[in-house]
Amino acid sequence: MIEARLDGAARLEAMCRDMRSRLYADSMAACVRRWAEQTPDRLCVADPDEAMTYGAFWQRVLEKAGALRLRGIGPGDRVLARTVQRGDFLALQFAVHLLGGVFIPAARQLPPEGLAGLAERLRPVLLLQDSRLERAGAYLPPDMPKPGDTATILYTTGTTGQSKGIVLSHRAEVAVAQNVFYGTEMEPDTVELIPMPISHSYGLRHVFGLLLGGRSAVLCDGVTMAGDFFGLMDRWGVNAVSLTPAAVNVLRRVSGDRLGRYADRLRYIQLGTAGVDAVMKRELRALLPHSRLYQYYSSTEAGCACIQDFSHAGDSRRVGRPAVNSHFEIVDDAGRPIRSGEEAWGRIACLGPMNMTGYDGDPALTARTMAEGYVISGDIGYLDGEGCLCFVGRVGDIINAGGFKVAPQEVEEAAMATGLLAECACCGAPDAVLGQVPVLYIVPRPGAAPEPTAIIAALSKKLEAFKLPRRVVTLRAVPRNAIGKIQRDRCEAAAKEEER
Amino acid sequence: MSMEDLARLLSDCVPSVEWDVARPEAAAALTSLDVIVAIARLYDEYRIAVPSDALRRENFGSLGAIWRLCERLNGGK
Repeated sequence: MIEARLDGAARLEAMCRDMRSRLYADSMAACVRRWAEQTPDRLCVADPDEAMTYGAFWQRVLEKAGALRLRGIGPGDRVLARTVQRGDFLALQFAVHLLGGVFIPAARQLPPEGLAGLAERLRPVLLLQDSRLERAGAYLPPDMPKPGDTATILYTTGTTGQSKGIVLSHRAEVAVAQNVFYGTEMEPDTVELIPMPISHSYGLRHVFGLLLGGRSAVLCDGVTMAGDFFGLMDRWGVNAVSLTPAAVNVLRRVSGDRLGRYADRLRYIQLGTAGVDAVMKRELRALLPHSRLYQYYSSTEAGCACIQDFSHAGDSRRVGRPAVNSHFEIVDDAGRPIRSGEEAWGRIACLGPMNMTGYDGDPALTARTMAEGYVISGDIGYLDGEGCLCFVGRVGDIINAGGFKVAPQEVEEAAMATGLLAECACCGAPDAVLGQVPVLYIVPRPGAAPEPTAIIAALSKKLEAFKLPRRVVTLRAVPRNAIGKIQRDRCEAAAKEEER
Repeated sequence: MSMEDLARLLSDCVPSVEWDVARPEAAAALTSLDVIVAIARLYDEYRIAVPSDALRRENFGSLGAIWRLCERLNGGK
């Protein structure tokens, strides 16, 4: 018997060739250069301080390249810069790329010690507190960046809490830009507001998607300052928005349903970094009935690999179809492909030219995460009969109740559907008999005081008995990380803390 | 509500920033979460509702800026 194994090399080679049949350039810098030549007067990037056409933006890139050259930056040099959510910062990034350098954006909120620690670890040739450089003459190197060269290192804590540097080539940046551009079916006059930080893969890659197609990006510092957010939408005629589920919650908290006033103008909104629950999907469909509503299944390691339009449906586990540069396999814990289905889950493995090269300075972690070009994620899922990827949960999150597998997201979705809760989290708790049992941590909606028995009774109408929580614990807030993902390992501690 | 009252409220909900009434224009770097907590407290304690149009960076850049915003929203009361 021949043991099945992943074989990605030939497929990846074909995928790299296919990239060139679409809107393509060897690097994002080359994309911008092309649009600067073809549509120099079109808006490229706007922010609260300034707006640049493609022609002006490319000129800014060349001037920054001139300044960086005077500082001695050349091929392979690392430039670490604290991110500012401005077009000028994007120009810095492309200038570093033009010179063959490696750009490393640091989160804007990183405290000085954190930035110093990152610099100690990365040993950059140049450390910048923002994107400002001295004025210099424009400089265009004789050679443009090559597809396989390293372009950017993105630092992420991901869902594991461990800081990792994710190395991306120019090809990977263009491939993920194609995934976004074709995935959202951008119209020629798309003007998209990006309030998510461009130091993070989600925000940055959506800007790349726009610049690949010569569209317009409007950068904004988050959504909390709703006056600024909507002011930019009005000023630039924004007709698309990138958000995260957490940002949607914040925006609605500070501005109610004001986003709905743009229902006739917004062609699409796209959501990423965390799953969109069924309640939010329904609410967005009601708020924006004419808009395309996308959610991305993505990671910094494997780009925006899968996309789902939930404008008309999408309450199930489906996270969508593979993006143009993505191919998925479901593998077992040994990395062998399996025939997956609703009752046969495995790890989600993703192949495509948008995949990272590896983890910076950590070949052991790279070897544990990648095989045959695939990024083998810590996500559990399956491919359904129609080729859609379905997400079940994270490897560590799946609850094993006496041999029965419980996906916490399914319990949470059913609990939220009661309409009694503002948020909730389902976690596994140790059990002497079953090994683990589900426990539900709830935050009631304002004015509601649901009895645990009422929650269980409602869930019992939807879920099998082994999925029902053995305890329901009320919290003031579900612990979440900076990008809004539930921190299941902190729920019990939060409950004990609140008891004190 | 006096500026001292506002400084006390902000010190309580955003302790990472020094809210000094003697230096009301000193720059205050508030995070998104800080702003959400502050506007919730303003409503809870003084029934000052900050409309979404007023949520602009320039209105939250210093103690003085927040004070002027509250005065405008409170009709000078």
